[in-house]
Amino acid sequence: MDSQMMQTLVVGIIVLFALAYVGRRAWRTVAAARGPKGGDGGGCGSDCGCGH
Amino acid sequence: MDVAEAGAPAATHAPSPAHVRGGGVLHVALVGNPNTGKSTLFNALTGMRQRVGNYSGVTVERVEGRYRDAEGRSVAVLDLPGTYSLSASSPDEEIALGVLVGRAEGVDTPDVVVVVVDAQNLERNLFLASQVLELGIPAVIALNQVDAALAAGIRVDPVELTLELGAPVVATVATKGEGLDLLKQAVNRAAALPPASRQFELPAEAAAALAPVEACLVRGGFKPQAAGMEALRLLAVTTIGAHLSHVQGLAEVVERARAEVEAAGLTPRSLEAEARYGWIADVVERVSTRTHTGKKSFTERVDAVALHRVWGPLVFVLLMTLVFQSIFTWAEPMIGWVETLFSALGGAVGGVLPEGDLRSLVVDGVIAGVGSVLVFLPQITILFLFIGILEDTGYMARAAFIMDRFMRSVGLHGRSFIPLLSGYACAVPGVMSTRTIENPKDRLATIMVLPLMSCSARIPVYTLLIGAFIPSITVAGILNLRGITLLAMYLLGTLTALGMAAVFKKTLLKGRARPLIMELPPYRLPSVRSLALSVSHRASMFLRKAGTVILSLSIVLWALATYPKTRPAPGATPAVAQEQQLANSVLGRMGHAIEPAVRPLGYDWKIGVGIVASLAAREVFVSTMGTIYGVGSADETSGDLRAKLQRERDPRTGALAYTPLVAVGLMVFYVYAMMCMSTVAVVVRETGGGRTGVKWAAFQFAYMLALAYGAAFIVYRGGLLLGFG
Amino acid sequence: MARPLSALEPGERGKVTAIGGDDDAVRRLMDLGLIRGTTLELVRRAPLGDPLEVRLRGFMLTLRRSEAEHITVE
Repeated sequence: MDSQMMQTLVVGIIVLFALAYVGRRAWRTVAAARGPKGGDGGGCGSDCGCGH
Repeated sequence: MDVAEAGAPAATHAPSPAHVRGGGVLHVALVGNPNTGKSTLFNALTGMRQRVGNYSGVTVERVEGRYRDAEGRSVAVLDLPGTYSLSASSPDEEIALGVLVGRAEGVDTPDVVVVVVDAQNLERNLFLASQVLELGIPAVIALNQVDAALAAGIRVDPVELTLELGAPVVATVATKGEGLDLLKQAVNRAAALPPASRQFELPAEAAAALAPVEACLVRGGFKPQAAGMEALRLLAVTTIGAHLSHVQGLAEVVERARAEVEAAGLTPRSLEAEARYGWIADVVERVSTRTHTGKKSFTERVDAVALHRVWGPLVFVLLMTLVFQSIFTWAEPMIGWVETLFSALGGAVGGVLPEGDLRSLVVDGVIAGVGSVLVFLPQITILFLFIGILEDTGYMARAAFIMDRFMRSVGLHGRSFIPLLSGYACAVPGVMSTRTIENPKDRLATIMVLPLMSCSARIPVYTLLIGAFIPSITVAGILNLRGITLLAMYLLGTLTALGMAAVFKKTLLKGRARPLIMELPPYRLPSVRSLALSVSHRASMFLRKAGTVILSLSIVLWALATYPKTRPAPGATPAVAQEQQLANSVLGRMGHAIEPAVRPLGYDWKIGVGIVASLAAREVFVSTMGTIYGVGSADETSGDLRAKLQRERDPRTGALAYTPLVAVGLMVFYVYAMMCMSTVAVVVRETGGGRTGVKWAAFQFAYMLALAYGAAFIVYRGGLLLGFG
Repeated sequence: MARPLSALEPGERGKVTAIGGDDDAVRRLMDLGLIRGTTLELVRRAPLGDPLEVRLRGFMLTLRRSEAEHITVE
């Protein structure tokens, strides 16, 4: 496997992780919307990001 | 200065420590009026070990922290929202009451409650204190800001006050950290002491009338003492709160009690306030002395100017200009450093990694993407610093006071002004700062229109388009057409924001105007440590978000623009090859797909791609245009990009693709469109999170997109009709 | 000489004899100590005429003209 292929492979894995993360985030927002009282009321808990 | 802890039983050993549950952690709740230095006290106790979240189902901020006491045990402190009483007429008060009576979801009932009382404002503060003390929870009173009180000529005797209230009183100066150790000790010993109880008597008829109400509450699970407090409170209340919905037959019993009280010649509505304040007046007489210093206080002297008919607004405008200016000008060099840092980083990495996808991902995807967001950091930090200073010194209340009349003419509240102003810098901290607006409808209306205030992210877009397509002509001798255009964009956004606010308040968010009854606190020097702590807290949260969501989004966007790969046609120049690559990528195809939708506005697929990509952040439009036109790394001032945009021709007709009209239309589009994922995310959270939050954010996105499309359409088509072509 | 609070001039004092108006507003005012018999002083009006700043029980309170109209003082 030459360096180019290696790179593409690594990139592919990273992109997949990124997609998975974004997907999970989106899912959590949607799922929180379905749960009783919106999960913990905002999917906020201790991870609020963005300064609040 | 008297820093005495009185009331503890004489003992050679410390009495048994406060009763602890679950895991040996002592749970302490902090309550108090706003502006008592409660947050400063909280920060002084817990330092960096704090956490900010939300209470279940409401957008009330939940602030918790920890400290270790002298014996090494962990103490969890919950900083309840500042409230004037437990009458539960606002979400903040409901939460405070709910937590204290042990009926808040997901919150441990506190073992000890610390009531923070401002020594300068003893009378009013004792109202809440007297209510809390009747709940039967072990309590400690933190008599805070004694230094400021002394300076104003007010001397309060903590020992006397302890005897009057029946609960230990510790004098503290939170900003200087004085009295904290004694406070912690008092907290530890609190549970060993007999709980406080009501120290005054109600008129006999009232007491008799309330007995059935108390009995009803006790049956519903209330402790006898708390039942007493609640019963008295309920006399004046019109709607039974949610935390009491489980008590059977409460409404009828309360009605009967009210009738009985009226029959006895008393007023149910004012019974509690008059009874409490009557007692408080006597207590304050006995425990404090006031020496009039004769000269006006510092606050009065400053307010004579700050709230003056003429000078007041001037001072206000000056201050606002300063804040606004600083966000742009002072942040500039810092933004420059961040950008330089990131391009250097990009260059370094680019030099190290061999040619290939990984290099492109890291340099063009990660570093460029995350860098464009981190660029926000200086502005956000500065904005929060200023807001913190304005709030902590007490000026914020004056700003609301001055602007209230004007805000109400568009249906908003005086407290909407500062968040809206922040929107000029960035909608994200602006939306977050709407938490100071109590009325949920006013707050929602403010959030819904906030992104219309032209935020700084739009500046690169404006600058690029104005620079490329608006000629630099002088108008009326001193004004430049370019400057006018920029100003026009800002005005357009601002006026629309105010107009939409008025529309919302008249339709969707119609509601009774909530009273503007608030305190104008005395001016104070903010605690530097406390300020630094909260600002750095927010900054780090922001960084964390950038490191996760934005990073992933950047990677995904990069992938969409890079794959599928196209083999460059033989003999094609790098620029053309780039173009082909982009056209065939997923992003490019998306651009072509939406082209029919943007054609009526005068845009081609390239601009379409730019618009879609700018969902990540508005500035991404500029860098995307740069990529599309094969100009390595472009920024809004790069002459290359401008020149290319000017020369671009429509492949079919051969005419110039972009004209000044198109440019103006595009700018108008950007004035209105909500092209910013970060804003969407924060709106989702601040409007309630979960399904509600998503609904509101979606609505906002949709109406703003409709506005954008409509306005751009009118500008472009109208312009064509008028011959601007 | 009973008058609404909103009719006071800056610097004038008065003793509250009656509080009317919106339930929410009334309860809030009473929680803050504005009850029958309280002495207060109108400090100033905002630059645009509304709201008003009032001193009572040692602190400064703001309220709108519409709320002050329902408070009677003498």
